Amino acid sequence: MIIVEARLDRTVYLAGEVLECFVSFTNQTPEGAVPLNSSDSESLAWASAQLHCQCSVSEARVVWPGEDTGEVPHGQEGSDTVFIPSRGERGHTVLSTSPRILFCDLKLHKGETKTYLYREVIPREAPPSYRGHSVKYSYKVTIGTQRVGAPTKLLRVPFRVLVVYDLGDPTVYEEVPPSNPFLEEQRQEGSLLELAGQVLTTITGRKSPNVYNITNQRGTVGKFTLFKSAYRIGEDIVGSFDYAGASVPCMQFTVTLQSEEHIAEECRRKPSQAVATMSFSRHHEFCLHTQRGHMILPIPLSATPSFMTDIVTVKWRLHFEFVLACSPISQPELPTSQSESTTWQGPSSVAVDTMVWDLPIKVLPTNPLQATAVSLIKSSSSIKV
Amino acid sequence: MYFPVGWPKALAVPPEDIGGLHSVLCNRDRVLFAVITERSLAIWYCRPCVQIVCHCRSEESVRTLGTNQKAAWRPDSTSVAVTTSQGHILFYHLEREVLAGHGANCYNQTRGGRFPSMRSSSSMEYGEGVPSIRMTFFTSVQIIGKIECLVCVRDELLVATGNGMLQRLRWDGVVNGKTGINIASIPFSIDLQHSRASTLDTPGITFTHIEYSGLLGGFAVVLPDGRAGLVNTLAGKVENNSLQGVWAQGLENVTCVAVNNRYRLIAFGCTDGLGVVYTVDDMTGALQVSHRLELSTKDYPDACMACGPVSRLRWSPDGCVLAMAWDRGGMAVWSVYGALLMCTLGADQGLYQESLRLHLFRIKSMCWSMEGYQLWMACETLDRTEVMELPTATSELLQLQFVKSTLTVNPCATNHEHLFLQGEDKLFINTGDLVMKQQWKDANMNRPLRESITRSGDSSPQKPVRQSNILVGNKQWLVVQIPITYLGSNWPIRYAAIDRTGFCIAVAGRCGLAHYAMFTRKWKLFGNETQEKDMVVTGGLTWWRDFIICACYNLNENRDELRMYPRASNLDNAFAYSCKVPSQILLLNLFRDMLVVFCADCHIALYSIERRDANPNPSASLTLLQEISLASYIPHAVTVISVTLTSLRTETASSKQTSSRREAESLIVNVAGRLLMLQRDRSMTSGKENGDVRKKEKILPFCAPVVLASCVENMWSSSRSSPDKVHLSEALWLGCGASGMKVWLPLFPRNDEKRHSFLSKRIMLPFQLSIYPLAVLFEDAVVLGAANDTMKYDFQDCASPSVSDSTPTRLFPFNVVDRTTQVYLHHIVRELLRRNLGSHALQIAKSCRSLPYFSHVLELLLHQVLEEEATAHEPIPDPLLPRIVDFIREFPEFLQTIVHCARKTEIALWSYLFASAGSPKDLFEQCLQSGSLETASSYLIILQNLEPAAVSRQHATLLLDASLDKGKWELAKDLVRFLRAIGNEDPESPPRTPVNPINAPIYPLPPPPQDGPFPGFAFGSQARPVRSYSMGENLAGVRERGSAKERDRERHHSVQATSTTNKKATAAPKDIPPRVRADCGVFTGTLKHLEDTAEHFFIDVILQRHARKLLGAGRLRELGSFAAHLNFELIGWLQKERSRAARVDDFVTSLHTLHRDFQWPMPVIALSQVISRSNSGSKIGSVGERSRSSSYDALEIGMNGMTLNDISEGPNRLRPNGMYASPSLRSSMDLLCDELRQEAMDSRQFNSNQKGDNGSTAATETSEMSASIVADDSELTLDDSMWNLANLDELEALSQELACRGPPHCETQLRYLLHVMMEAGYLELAVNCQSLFECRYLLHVMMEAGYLELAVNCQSLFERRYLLHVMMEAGYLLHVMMEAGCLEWAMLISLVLRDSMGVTRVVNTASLTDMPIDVVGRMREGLSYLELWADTECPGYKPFLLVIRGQAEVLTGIVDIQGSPQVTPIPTPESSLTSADFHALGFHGNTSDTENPENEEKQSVVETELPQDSGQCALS
Repeated sequence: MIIVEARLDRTVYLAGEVLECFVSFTNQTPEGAVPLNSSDSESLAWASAQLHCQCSVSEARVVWPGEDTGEVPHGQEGSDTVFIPSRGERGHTVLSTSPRILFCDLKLHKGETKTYLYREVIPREAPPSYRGHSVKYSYKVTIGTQRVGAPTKLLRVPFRVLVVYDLGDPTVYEEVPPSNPFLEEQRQEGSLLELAGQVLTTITGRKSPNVYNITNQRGTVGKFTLFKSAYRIGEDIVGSFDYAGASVPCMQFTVTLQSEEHIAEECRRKPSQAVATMSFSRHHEFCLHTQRGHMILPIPLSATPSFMTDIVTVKWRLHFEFVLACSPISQPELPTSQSESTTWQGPSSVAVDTMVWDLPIKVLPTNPLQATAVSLIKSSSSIKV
Repeated sequence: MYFPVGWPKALAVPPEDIGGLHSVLCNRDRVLFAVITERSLAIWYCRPCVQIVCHCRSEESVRTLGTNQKAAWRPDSTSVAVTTSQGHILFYHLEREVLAGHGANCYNQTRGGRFPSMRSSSSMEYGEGVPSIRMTFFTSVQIIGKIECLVCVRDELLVATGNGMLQRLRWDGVVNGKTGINIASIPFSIDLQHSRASTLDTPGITFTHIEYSGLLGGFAVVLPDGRAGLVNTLAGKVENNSLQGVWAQGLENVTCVAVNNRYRLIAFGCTDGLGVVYTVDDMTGALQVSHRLELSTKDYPDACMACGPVSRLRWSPDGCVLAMAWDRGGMAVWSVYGALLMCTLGADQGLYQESLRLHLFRIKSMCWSMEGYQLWMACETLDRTEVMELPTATSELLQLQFVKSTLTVNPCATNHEHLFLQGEDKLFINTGDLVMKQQWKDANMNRPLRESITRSGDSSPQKPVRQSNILVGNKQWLVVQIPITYLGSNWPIRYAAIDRTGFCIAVAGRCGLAHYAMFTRKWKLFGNETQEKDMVVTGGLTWWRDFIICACYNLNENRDELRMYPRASNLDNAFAYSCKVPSQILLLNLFRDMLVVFCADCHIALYSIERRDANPNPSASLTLLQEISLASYIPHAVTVISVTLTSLRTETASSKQTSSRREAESLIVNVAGRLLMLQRDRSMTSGKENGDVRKKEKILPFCAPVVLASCVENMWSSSRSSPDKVHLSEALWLGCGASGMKVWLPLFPRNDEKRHSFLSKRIMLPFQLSIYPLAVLFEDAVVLGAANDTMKYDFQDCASPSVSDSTPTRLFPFNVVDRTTQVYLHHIVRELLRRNLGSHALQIAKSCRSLPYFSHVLELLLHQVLEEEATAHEPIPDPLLPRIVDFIREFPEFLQTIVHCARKTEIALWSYLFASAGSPKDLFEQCLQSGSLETASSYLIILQNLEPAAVSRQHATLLLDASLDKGKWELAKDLVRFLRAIGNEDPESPPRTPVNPINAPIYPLPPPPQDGPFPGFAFGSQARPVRSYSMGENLAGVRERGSAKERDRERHHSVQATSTTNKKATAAPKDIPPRVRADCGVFTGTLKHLEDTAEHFFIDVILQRHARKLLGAGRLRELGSFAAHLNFELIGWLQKERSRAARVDDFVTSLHTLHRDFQWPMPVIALSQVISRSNSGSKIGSVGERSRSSSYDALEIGMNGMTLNDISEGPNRLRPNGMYASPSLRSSMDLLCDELRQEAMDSRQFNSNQKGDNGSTAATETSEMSASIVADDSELTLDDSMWNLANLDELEALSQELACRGPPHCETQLRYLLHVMMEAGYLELAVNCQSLFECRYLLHVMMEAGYLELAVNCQSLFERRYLLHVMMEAGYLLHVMMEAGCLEWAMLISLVLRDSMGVTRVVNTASLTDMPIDVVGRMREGLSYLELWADTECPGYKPFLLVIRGQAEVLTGIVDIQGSPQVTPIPTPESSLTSADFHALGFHGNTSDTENPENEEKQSVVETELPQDSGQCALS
């Protein structure tokens, strides 16, 4: 019995980064077991590794747009002696790297372990990992291996891909061979990471408070200040409310962080199909007797930042729901006459109305190391061959 | 602990004319808040936070009775008493309005709008709504003398009057007791036992503050003169003779007081802005200072002066934190034992000018809300922007949100292992830092083949993938929102628990519970809401495996229960296990499979938990094991903070014994901050009955408690034991607030020593932490904590005119919680060393060596002690630093630690450091010896500062030599820069720090020479810098009173330096001459310049020497990288060395060296040709065969020049072909082969045509092209064409064709092959892109790579790039050699590259330029030796040598023409010597090669066939 174990160095990557996966093969034939062949070693014919991205769509909502989206055609289904990484996976393979052979004809003695390092660049044009209502993009490293005369076995390790757009001309960061070949290549592993970090910091670090006056037809409800419009995942969205000078009392409100999933027009099953929204964190407050308040909405690190592919566009917004009193609510007042005291009582019932408002925001990726730290994806998996 | 979050929320305050805010006060269950202004009393509801009712007094009432001042709630919340400024008490009655038999609510929302109701509006409902409350003014009572303060004691009001009386009032306004108590008659003493009490002799003295505590049995009081104390009610009654006061000794400036029942503490605020916390001595009743609350002058300079007296103190409901407000503004939050958690006086909070800021907002009253999630503050802003005018006060009612550590209420074991905070509606989790394995980041890119594969199971473990652990800091909080569906009706969250893995969370609010799994991101709530409503979690919540254990009260059956809910099933009582308990449970905790609960009746019960895998749902059950009564040790059940079951004992067995499974050995109970330890009583079962009564052992009784420590806030112990870090996992950690942390560390006797009876088995080590600890990671030697931080948000841009910038909300910065972390290992080591327990320190440190920050720990250790001791004002009798240094010396990181530490400290402290660590020169030498050159380079900076320039220069030179030898080019480059830089410095400059100022004026300097002959000296005319250098040196010599010897030496050096250009570099001086002093102003500039060039010259000498060494050894590749990195002018130098170091005496050996250095395979006889002969059947079908048999040998021969390990892996990589050989595939392969052969035939035609073209062009260009080569060409074509056809399109077409006929899996096999070919395609692509080689080279490369490809077809792109890279390097060198005219080397390189064009160019150069005849001769002879060698040893070279045979003949021709008598125009005797030795050497090399046994055994497959690439090579 050979145990194949694949371990990723982390579980979240930026598109364009190099993924590293250690694949180890251990001969774990238990003591006393009769080996398949007479010798005490076992062998595997070959092992290959490949990255691929599967896109599965909900048939009820999405029409798959034919072959022109760059789908890699499948190999012959049904043959089990060949390395097809997406075998048995749902959906369409929208991206796959060329397979790499780890070894051919590997012999392992009892208890022996051999480890191979598989490195592959995640293509920069890759779509990000996403799990939505009707579209899902998921990435895996698939390692295929085969004993002579046996079907291929596949081992998959899922990982997550974040995409940072606007990194400019990609060739700038490619290796530039120095004129003197003896000089070490100047390329640094983290350069893409650093650059992406800089880009993200520049975009999300910008603080430009935007003040929104919330009004309905009866008057002002309040002011909402949002200090930035672009956030990284994992960040907190901070906004402040100011009800001073409001003429329409707001009883309570909810702010929900939502992502909108727009299916491309040509892919919609029904033309009238509504935009699907997913709610993440929510802030809820009763604010009748509040003058100033604020909200802190965390963007989950597991969320997929805004992106666009041929099939789907994902955008983010803050969804506000206000519950407004239909008429002004009385306030405690000073007694009118000198000798009389007054008692003010909160009204037993208030007629309310609701109001909805959507505010688009930008949600961007973050440092994949950070996302890995809180990721719950297991970075390794194993099979027995 | 408590950390504020965000800005405070500002509530709508009553209009200004009602009067400023006076105070805010909550009722007993903190649901209702009374907000008092001068004229009004308003009642607010806590959540939703709205005003329910407000009573506003008439103007007349205010005039006659005075304005409102203080208030008190009746415990049952039915009344509020308000005092007035004129000595009246107003009583208000509150009652819940009733509607149809139920309590009525207000603010019921009804749909009034035209818009349809929103989907989520229903979830916006708040539980039971806002109760409607009617408030009526009941009565007013006048108190004689003004009212100083009032307090509610049970169902009575106690009023201290201005005339020194204590009055008791009933809540109906009737004065209880006839006269009241005269305060002056209360006896006060120091304690309740011995000291004599004396009454307060001042008549009319009163209490300005009173706080009642039932648990302490009395009132904490403050007197107007600043004294304070505790007035005990002896019989529990407030009677005239039953009161006795105890002074809080040493206090005379008290302003306010607050009592903490849970921890039995009394906090006093003082006029100097400090707080002093007293504890009550149980024995004597005396008040003793526990700790002080003082802002450190370091972080808050002058804060205490500016903020004024303490005005308010408030303990949080759980007693864990104390909020403090100052009279002149600002507030702080302290942990129970005095760790500062938050303070608004910090610099980060400064939005405004220093002078204004402190006065801007002032907290008049504070009050914690339920569970301490909010702090209500009645704030007042004094707008002093218009300085001259009277300040106008604006008051605001603020609510500051807090999150708190779960340890405050639910200190169960699993919560101790994670950083887990609970907020009102959110949970914050930090998963800790991530230690990531990092590979390749520093891996040498040039060695991919070797490092791509590791073998751990194999016998040669010398090739591990380079791995280093890097620590990825993770400050990110994982925020989990508590669902509104649960929170709506069950606010506030009381208990939260996280499981051991950190993935599952449970929370319990007012009723029921809910749990969450991170991997599903889903909450589970009770499906049945009545079940939720029927249980109240009263005493904690914890996880045991996948069960939630909670201590709850069953409202339905009115009993206390322990329940266990499985995580996997629905949350329903049907799946739960419940167990009735006799009394309310206050705390629970786990140890392995044991549950320990603490009940309200002061009993501890131990249960064992058992899991039953009943179908379909797993369940678990509890069995009561033991009950222990703690009643006699505990003043009140409330004071028990935590209960822990641990495996610790005071005495520890040897480390081996404890590493086995440990049992629950002791109970540790935190009672009001005092840690009691109850150990199992083993004295009964000593010895005899060991085996049979295992069960009995479990229920051993516990001994009487021992006090371990006091002032303990939190406690951490590990239930897991790790055998390799026994010390750390067996330790007990205590968080002690202001006094930092304490660790109770086991000391294991060493194996070799008998147990010392006098050595205690455990030791308590205290140390200071800069963070507030919340989780101890035992095995990582790290403490995690949290801290308050602030962020600035700019409102000014957007502030509307209606918002004044000076309101308190605007003054408050935005608060965030930061995760902090601290390594503690160095503290432990230091404390142990301080106690002379070095061996234990060493044991502990050695167990932690694998931690990624271990070297950092050593540095911290050294740095802290160094800073402390070197900056001490008084001499230290027993300095610790030498011990620390010796300790660090035990580790290989020693040298590095010392230098890193030194470079991070001030230069002034260096002398102290190196006094202990040894002289930096010695340390530098050690670095050199141990080969840690980078560390040595760090020492250079130190040397440069401590030693004269000459010394550091000398050391730098040594290091440069070493780094050149080791091939550390980057370092060498830096050193060259360093040397050149110090060359620019003031020569013989004293070290930057006055090392020894006393020595300075020993040699009085003569006055600078007046004019003299020097100005006339035309230095400029001195063309050669070296000579002018010696002039300068002479000049210096005149002036210096230095010894003549030294001067001589200098001169000697300079002479040497002048001559080195003509001398061998080995004669170059080892050490660099000391600089001359050039302090004469006029000459300095010139001299300096001259010296610089001299300095640079010496560096050049060193570099040249090294280059010569490399070239002499034939290490061209190293020479190349050396030159590239150090900007060494290679061509010019080579030109000079053309006939010296660049001579090649032994072509064969040099060729071998070249092959080895570049890892370039020796040419192989075309494999497929070998096969085509041996296997007459199908040509390609033999692929499988080939890989198994002949190719091994052939390849091994081919690569015998390579000594690399990867050769041994060659066969492994060859294997892929074996796959095709498997019998099941054979038939399909044959099919494919037939097809291929057919194709091959077709394309051969095409190919030979092409060849013909090529051949003709070649013929026109190179006349040397011999006919025989052309003839050979035709035989070559078959293989070539095979390769040409192996391009992708054709193969794909082929495979598709095949798919029509063959079985389906055959096609997929082909596709696989296709993939392989695509991989191979990268090379061509790469080569194309690079276009670094001429076009004719492409085919050649493809051939070369093609063989490699088929043979080693599992190489990755990376490796191939490497090959290409090597070729580029070699090609570059070829170019350089050509340029420099080093024809011998150029010849060799072209041979290695099998670049016949290169050979031609070499020969052309030789014939056209006037090359020394001996060079040409050597080349000619070398080639013939090579031919000889190829014949016998390396047949792979034969074809190529055949190709260039023509060139060799040309060389012969040149030699012949230039004259047979060899004139040797060799300038130096050495070179002529070598020339003379030439023959001998050459022969020698040759014979030694043939003797090489390695080569001999591969003679079997000698196929001297076909120059495979001649046709292509001829193209240009």
